[in-house]
Amino acid sequence: MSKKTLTLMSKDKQLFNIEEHLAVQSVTIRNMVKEDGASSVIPLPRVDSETLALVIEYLNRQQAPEEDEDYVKKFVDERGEIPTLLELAQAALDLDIKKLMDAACMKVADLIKDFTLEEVREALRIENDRTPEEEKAIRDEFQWAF
Amino acid sequence: MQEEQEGKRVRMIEDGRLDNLPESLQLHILSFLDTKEAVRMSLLSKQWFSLWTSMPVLHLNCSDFCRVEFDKFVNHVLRYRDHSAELNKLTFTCLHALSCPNYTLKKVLDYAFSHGVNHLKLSITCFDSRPFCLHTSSFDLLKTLKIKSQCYFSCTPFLSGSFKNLTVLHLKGSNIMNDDCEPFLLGFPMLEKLVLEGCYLGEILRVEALKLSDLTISCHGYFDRCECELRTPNLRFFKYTGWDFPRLETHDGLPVLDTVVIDLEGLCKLSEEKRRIDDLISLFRGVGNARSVTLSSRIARLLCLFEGNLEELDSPFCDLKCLKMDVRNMEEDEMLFGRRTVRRTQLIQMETAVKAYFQEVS
Repeated sequence: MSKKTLTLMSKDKQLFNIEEHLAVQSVTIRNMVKEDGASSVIPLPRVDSETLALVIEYLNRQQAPEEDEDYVKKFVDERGEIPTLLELAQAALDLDIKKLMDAACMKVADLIKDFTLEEVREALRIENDRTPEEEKAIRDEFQWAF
Repeated sequence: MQEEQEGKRVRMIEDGRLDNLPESLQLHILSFLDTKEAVRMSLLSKQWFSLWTSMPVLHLNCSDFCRVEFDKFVNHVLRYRDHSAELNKLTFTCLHALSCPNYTLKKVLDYAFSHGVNHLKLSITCFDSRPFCLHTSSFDLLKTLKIKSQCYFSCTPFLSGSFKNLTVLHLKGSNIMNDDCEPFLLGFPMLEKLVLEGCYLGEILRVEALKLSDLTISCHGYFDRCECELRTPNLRFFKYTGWDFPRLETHDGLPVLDTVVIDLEGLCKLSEEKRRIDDLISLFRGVGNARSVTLSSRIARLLCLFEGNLEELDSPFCDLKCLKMDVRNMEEDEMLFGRRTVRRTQLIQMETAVKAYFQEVS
């Protein structure tokens, strides 16, 4: 029996081939395959080609089950930049690849824990909608935590 | 038709803002932070203000506090948290040299069990199991339990308690010595994964767990050699690391065993090598059903000290499909133990001998 190949298309219209039995680690893809055989190209309009290349590299890993956890940690460690990790987490969320999403989010959490609030806002793209007075009021109320 | 489906897919994946991070992702990141950090994040924006109070996880870590402050912090967190929010997972870490105050631990455990915690992880230098034992009636809720300590805490609660839904148990630094010879884990009908790390096992370890598929035992200290009696018909993965090899007794030969990983902690005294080789070979026979075996370079070294021709022995394995050598420790070993370790070239020669030995069909 020959191995079936799927084609994934990134946001910038690049095509990536991957063997079906590896691609179905993504629950999203698995459901598509179940639904209609997914013979055509699967578009991933939120995932750019750089990120998709990473996801494919991850899906193609050849790891014994007992080494898998160490592998996924190392995999995200080597891509330690927050923007890359967020793209990866976002792609893993869309494609429903739990282990990869967990590892990427855990790594982001690990990085931001030593950040100032301003740095966290920048990293996670959050807008501060409080005035300095409002912020101070909260700091006072939750003194026990800060 | 084709186009319609394509369109459906595109919409499905595009649903969500491109510029902002989806809230589910923000929450997921938040769930990995210590609760202290998660509370600090409430200053980020109005939307983030109360996110932490309804998160299904709590990670209480005393490392940023002194003893009194930590207790105060815990009080506040438990008071401010949304009491109707489900608590799925709780980790409690206290690695101060001084033991964690039991009244803090008690409060946390009371809260956790009264909120139906499923996954509990306690890392406490000197773990006292008494506050934990007060909750025997809630043990059935637990799905994962990890307790890490350095004080050889008593395993009594695990002998008498009923853990009807527990699938993962990880104990580190527990005293599992089992005087009255009751099998360990009788009250764990659903247990799938068991890790005993640096535990004192006593003379005999009896494990009776019908669903267990994954067993890891690592012994860091030098104890007397123990006997492992396994009644685990569904065991697929077995990993053992230690100073000494256990005598393995199985009731049914572990019929579905797939993967075995064996490593040696440190290098043994020259005078003990002969006995160890015998023990090792007897351990191999105990796991003879394995289809995949991974050995460390230390194990390989021990095997090459076998007097006589390894190839002439009958293989202990009846259906071996895959043999792996783990050489990760080799460089470290060369530094630590110098010439007594295996050289790479030797390893290759030896590998042939070991391979021949393993594949020799009896």
